[in-house]
Amino acid sequence: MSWSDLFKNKKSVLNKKKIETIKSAGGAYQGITLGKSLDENIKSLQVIFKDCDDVVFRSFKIAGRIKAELVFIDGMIKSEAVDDFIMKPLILESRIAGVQIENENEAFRYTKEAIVSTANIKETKELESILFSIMSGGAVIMIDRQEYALIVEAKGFEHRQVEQPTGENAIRGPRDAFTETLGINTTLIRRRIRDPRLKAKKYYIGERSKTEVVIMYIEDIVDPKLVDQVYKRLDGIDVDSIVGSGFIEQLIEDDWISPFPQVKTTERPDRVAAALMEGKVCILVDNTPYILIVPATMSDLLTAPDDYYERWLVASLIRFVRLIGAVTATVLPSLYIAMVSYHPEMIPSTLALSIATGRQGMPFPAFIEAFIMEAVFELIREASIRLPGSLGQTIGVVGAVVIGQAAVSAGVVSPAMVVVVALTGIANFAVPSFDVALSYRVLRFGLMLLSTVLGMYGIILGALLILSHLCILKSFGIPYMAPWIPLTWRDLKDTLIRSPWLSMRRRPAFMHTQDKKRMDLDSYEETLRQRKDKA
Amino acid sequence: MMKRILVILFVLAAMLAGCWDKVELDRRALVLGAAMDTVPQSDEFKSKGHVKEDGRELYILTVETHMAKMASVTSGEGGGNGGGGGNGGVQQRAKRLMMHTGTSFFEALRKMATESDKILFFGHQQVLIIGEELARTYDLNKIMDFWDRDPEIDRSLKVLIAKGRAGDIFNADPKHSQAVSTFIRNQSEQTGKTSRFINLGLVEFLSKLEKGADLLVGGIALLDDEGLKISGSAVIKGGRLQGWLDEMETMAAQFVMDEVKGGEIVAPDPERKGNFITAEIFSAKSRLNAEIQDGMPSFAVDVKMECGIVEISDQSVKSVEEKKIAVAEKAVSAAVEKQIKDTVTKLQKQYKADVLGFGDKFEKYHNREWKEIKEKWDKLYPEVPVYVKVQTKVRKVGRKY
Repeated sequence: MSWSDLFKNKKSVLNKKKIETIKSAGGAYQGITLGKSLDENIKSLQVIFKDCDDVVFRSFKIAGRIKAELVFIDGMIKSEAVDDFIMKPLILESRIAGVQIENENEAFRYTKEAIVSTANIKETKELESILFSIMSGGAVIMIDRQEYALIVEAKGFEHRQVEQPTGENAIRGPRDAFTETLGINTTLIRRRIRDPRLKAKKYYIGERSKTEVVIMYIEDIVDPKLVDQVYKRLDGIDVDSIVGSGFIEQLIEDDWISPFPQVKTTERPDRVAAALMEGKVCILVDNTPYILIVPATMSDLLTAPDDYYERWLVASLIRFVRLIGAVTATVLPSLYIAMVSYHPEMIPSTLALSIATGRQGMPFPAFIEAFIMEAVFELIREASIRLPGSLGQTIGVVGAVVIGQAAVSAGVVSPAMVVVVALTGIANFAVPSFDVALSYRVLRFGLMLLSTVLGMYGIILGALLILSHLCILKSFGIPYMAPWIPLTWRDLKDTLIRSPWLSMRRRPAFMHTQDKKRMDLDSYEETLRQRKDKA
Repeated sequence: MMKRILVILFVLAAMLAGCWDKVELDRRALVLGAAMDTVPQSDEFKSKGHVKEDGRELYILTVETHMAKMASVTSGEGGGNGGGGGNGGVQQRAKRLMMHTGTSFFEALRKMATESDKILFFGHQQVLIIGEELARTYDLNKIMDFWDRDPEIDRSLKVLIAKGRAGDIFNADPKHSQAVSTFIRNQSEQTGKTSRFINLGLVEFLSKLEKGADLLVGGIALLDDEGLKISGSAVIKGGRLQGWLDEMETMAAQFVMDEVKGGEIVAPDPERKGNFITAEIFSAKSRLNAEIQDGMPSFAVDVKMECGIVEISDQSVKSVEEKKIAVAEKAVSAAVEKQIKDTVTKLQKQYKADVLGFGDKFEKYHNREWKEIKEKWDKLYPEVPVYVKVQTKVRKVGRKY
């Protein structure tokens, strides 16, 4: 026990009381502030960070005289920055800086204003915010006899660089994809829309994880009701931790029982920028390279970035192909089952003949065959995801060859079934959004079951069920089937076909945007006229 | 809770209620063709017990099912064997055939079912062949009832009448086709384009029969070398077979019915004796006009035809001058005119069958008068005057001009 401790004997008792409260607080440090004594404050933090050996406590003296403590988490700060801009100036260069530090008050003031040369520095006395800063990569400087601590923003942890998108490839689009670091992600978006009206509202969600969530929207385009709705739903989240954006998606979606995703996820900043320009709200979650876009509509989920980069005729054709793919992926196996088991008269005669010949002596009825093959296909797919890169592809090829060829020649499944399953699988890969592709997969099995028991009637029944569900489904107040249901003729320009940009001079009406115009056609026509005149 | 019970009930209903009419494709025998015949009074059938002692059986039904590729599978099929035997290929094919007698066709089918491990399925039937003897002895209305009534039958199947026994047709060599029936189906589509054959679907056949109209049905014959010949047509009057029209007569009849889609005409060259002008028909339009002449019905056939000259049996003729073309046009017209006239006369005088729809035409255009002559139409028909006029236009003369 030092002299000063003896001197502040009375306080020392208080000190103990405080530490007791901290010990019993169990994580709830609201309202607790720092004390005047550095030792007491260090003690408090040490109690809190008991057994947290990655927390570094560094005692030093400012200008060789005034006791101070630097607290940070090893690996979450840029150590060069802390060395060069905090420690070095404080210990060595404070004298060179030409300031005379007489007492602790001056030390605090000069440290903040003159010595520490990082851009982002805050002062606080709230224990909670100090703890939060330490946890999120700040360096905290506490100076003796000061009940305020300085928080220096020196975040610097290991993170992945911006890389190519893995799931959403585009031929003509940009090649950058979001990373796990929120700051990088917001930058990627900001770089595409340099408009101060693009707002980025920060949120912390998760009682323990305190995950940073940023809500982005363009203030004068977005429907304010939509933003309110997003805030309301995010406020309603009360969980201890958010590990990825999928958590948020599932906590804020409209209908959790529906097989369809009601939030669009993307790893491409260009898609996010495009969505923002359509009046959508984007939710960025720290530690997730997937950004959430709300609301989502069915036709929206069937678009790919290339639709907009390619010329409209080509893009429209590709969209048709994709739609066919989506329908095929959902209904083809069930159609096969229904036709082969219940309605052979529906198959064209020559095809019926070859299917019938191929099915001679098959051990399983068509529906069991279909379920087996679909299960095998899902197995191959799942296995190839789990296996490391190059091995995954091998499994795909081996699986396809072995299961397809060998099963047919062994007489376990009919050749037509292999064709159906392979077609379905390929068609499923043509669906641009992985989430929707998943929901089609789920529906496929449902429809297969229905067609097994009820034939074509079952498929029609299932299709009706799915359609009616789609018609009542809403995503953040916007009908999921918009603009088909309710029908808005003008918005159909960007659904089945992707009209030329010139004809899409308005933003989609179903988004109820404030700024409705995309382009000013009058001035465009003027330029066209001028160009013509010159020619 | 209520909702949960409802959901469970729905699932149970769906799982338990379905499947009753589920038959896998490999449990079905696809019937590709069927042939109907009378029961012959031969020992072959008696010995097999197909005909009862009291002779109640009326028909023989032969069906061709799809070919089973694997020999092991075919063993389950096959009933009576029409004209099988001989080499292995015939044996193999014969196994696709099932034959049974019956007082009705359905009875015959059910008898076949006792000899098969598969359910006969008529949804892909390609052809229906009626035996000559059957068509002569029974009213087709009576025979066709089953094929009209059964909802399973593919209504687009082709109807033909066989020269001889219909069941024998299936013993033909189907060449590269999967089955004789598909061969016939494709052949009839193809031959129909040469106008030498009547390509008739079940629906049209039934509706004409039902109206009591006389009609032409395409003919089919088994050649000696197991080949098939589809040509000519059978004249049906009052539901019964009266006789046959040959290929060229069939074409002439189709000229009158405005159903010529193609084909060729060989006309003698009036300028060069012993030589012929061959023309290919590109398109032909005809009008049948019903008129009243001296209070009697008369008919005028007006054919307008466009064709190209494809052969004039003289390689040395390099150019076809306009004059020559006019001659050719006239020759072709005359040939067609003669063909039509002969055919109409044959139909009027020999068969007395109004297959060209003269009565029908008259009814439509002179309804009041028709009511008066309706009763005597049968007597009037062979005597009504028919005027034929053919106009030909040559559009192409080939490369040598």
